[in-house]
Order: sequence, then structure tokens, then C-alpha cells
Amino acid sequence: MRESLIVCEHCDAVYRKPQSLAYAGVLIRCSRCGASIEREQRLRPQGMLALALAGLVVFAIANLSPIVDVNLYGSRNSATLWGAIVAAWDEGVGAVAVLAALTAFFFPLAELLTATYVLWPLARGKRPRAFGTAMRLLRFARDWSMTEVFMLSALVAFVKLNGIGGLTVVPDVGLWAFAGLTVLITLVVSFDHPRLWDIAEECAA
Amino acid sequence: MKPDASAHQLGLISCTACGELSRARPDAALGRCRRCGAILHPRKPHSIQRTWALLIASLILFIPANTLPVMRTGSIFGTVDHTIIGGVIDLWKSGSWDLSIIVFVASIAVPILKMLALGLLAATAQMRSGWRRLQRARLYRLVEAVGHWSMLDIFVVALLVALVQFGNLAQTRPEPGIIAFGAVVVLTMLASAGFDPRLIWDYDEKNG
Repeated sequence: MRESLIVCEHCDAVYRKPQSLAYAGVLIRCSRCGASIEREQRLRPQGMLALALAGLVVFAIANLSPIVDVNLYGSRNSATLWGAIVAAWDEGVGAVAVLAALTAFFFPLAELLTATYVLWPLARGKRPRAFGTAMRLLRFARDWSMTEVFMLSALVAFVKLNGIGGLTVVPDVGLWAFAGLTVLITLVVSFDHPRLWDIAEECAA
Repeated sequence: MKPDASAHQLGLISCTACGELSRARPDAALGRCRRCGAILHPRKPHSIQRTWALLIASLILFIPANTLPVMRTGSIFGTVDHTIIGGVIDLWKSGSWDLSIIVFVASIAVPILKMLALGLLAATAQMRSGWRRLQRARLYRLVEAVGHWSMLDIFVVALLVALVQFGNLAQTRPEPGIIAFGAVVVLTMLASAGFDPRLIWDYDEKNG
């Protein structure tokens, strides 16, 4: 049943899957609602694993380095992502701190760790343990991870700080690292989930 | 390719977690996906009610989010309260019209249009309307794609609060408006996640 039918996730339309198209690497769009049903897979698990590992390294750099340095008449200050979260917490808006921590720190980290966990065995032709749970976690983390939004807000904050009289603002390593992390995470999570399931099933067989 | 029918009509359920097709159980009990173990629902449960409830909650919180200040800056010249729209105007006046437009779109246009769009989608789905199905399906995908960009101002406030701490010279504090604003973003994201776009097509059968 699964070999011959394919269902659009967005409108529930059922199609017969043409065998020739199955792994030809083309984009299949639903002719009823226009959503993409199967996306082209540019990379194999090995390539995706490399991106996920690179993402983890850049994630560490982005979170350990200050994003911007400010200087007001000789007194200096700088902030990391975590510093901003702690500042929000200390200033009495705990809900905002938790929201920022989840969407800019924990979910992106969970995305990269889960992707690595899933892709490491798959790249070596093995099916990961608790694959179903990992895939559900990955999907949830992907929906709520907002590295790209944080990246843009760092730029907005930078410009706003520049507008304060007497304040010197210098972008630091963290800002560039977040730019890189945005690209890497976007690439890592762009893979097609049903396709990963198919790969895992081939491994198990 | 032309679609044969909807999976629901054929007595099939496609797993929302992994895409696996299962046969719907005749006793109307919920089964689990045999591939990934997720609970199978033919449609997201209570989709329209859930979308309305979260949408109304976000609409109410949208008022304090935009009228209350989100941030207070203090210096030797006194203190100033900043609202979301005030931040957009400040950026415009300081000459950063490009960023001003980005913040306006992310913080004001996206939440308003998203709430209008979700209201329209929930209402038309509830009325089993056949009106402009393709456009409604596209509208839903657009709402899903842009929704999280409204978090922009949350991060901006957190960063400014961490950075502008120079004692009497310059101080920044978050204000309650930012909590309401964060709640609006989360609630509208949940509202759009709760809506099932397949409902748009469910009453398509008679008129093809």
C-alpha cells in the first residue's frame, strides 16, 4: 500500500506514486493544493551528518562568544545570548527569559543533537534506536527553533544601540557565528522527514 | 497527476509524524501508526474550536501588548517608555528605514494579518465553504511560514536589557508589555498549529 500510494500532508489528496519518480530527485507538488509532497534530497545522510556536526561546533562558538560589545565613555559591556536570557530573568520578565531560552537556545540545540543522533547510525547503514521518538522530537524542535529570528534581532539591537548618543557599538564573534549557525541549521532541517523514514526502513531490512 | 480522492474517503489515515499510510479502524477507535507509533487522527482533534479559543486569547492580549510599554530606558536626562510601535518610529526617525520596515512587518503587520487569516480560515472551514480553496490553502502555508518572525522584538528587548547597563548614565529595563507580546506570538503560533488545513478540502467532493 505504502509503495504505491502517496498522500498530501496538507490536503489529504491521494495519488498513485509513479515508480519512475520514486527516487528521481524531483519536486512533487500536490496538484490540488500546491504543497510540496516530496522534496528533492540533495544530500545523503553522510553529508547531512557533516552539516549537523559543523552546526554543533558553530553553536558552541555562537553561544560562548559575545554578540556585541558596547562602550560608553570608557565603561564596557558585552552580551552573549545566555547573558541576554539571564538579564531578562533578573529584570523580572521570567516568562520572556524562558521563551527566549527555549526558542533560541534549547530547541536549536535539540535540533542539532537529535539530527546528529539520527544521522550518525543512518550514515553507517544502521537504524537508530528509538528512531520514532527522535524524529518526533526533531519535528517539534524544528517548529519552535528560531535561530534565524534571533540573528535578525541581533542586527536590530545593533542598530538601535548605534542610535544611543555617546555609545560605541562593535559587533563581536558571536554575531558572525550566529549568521553561520542560521545557515547550517536551515540546511540540516531542510531534509524530508518521510524520506528519512524510508532510509531507516531500508537499513532495518 | 490527478488526485484519486482524499485518504479519509478511502478509509486511510496518513500519519502526521512520518507520512505512513494506515487503514482507519472500523470501530472509530484511535490506532497508532505501525511505523512510528504516533497516535493516528484522521484530522487534528477539535481543530476549529482550538484555533478559535487560542485566536480569541491572542486577540485580547494583543491590546496590552501594543498599548503597554515593552521597555524603559533611563539616563541622566530622565526616563522614556518604549512601545512596540514607538520602536518602529524611532528606527525610522534615526534613518534606518529598512530595519524600521522589517520590525514593522515582524511585530505589527504579521501578528495582525495572521490573526485575520486564521479567523478567516477557521470561519470558512466551519461553514464548510468551498470558496477559493487553493488560495486559502496557500494562505495557511504562508501563516505557518512567517509566524515565528514576530519573536524578533522579544530578543531585541532581552539583548538591549543585557547590554545597556551603565548605572546612572544609561539603563534599560523590560516592562510588562513584552510579556503580553510574547504571549501573543506563542498563542498565534499554537492557533495556527492547531488548525488542520485538510479541513479546507473536506467538503470538496460534490463540486469536484
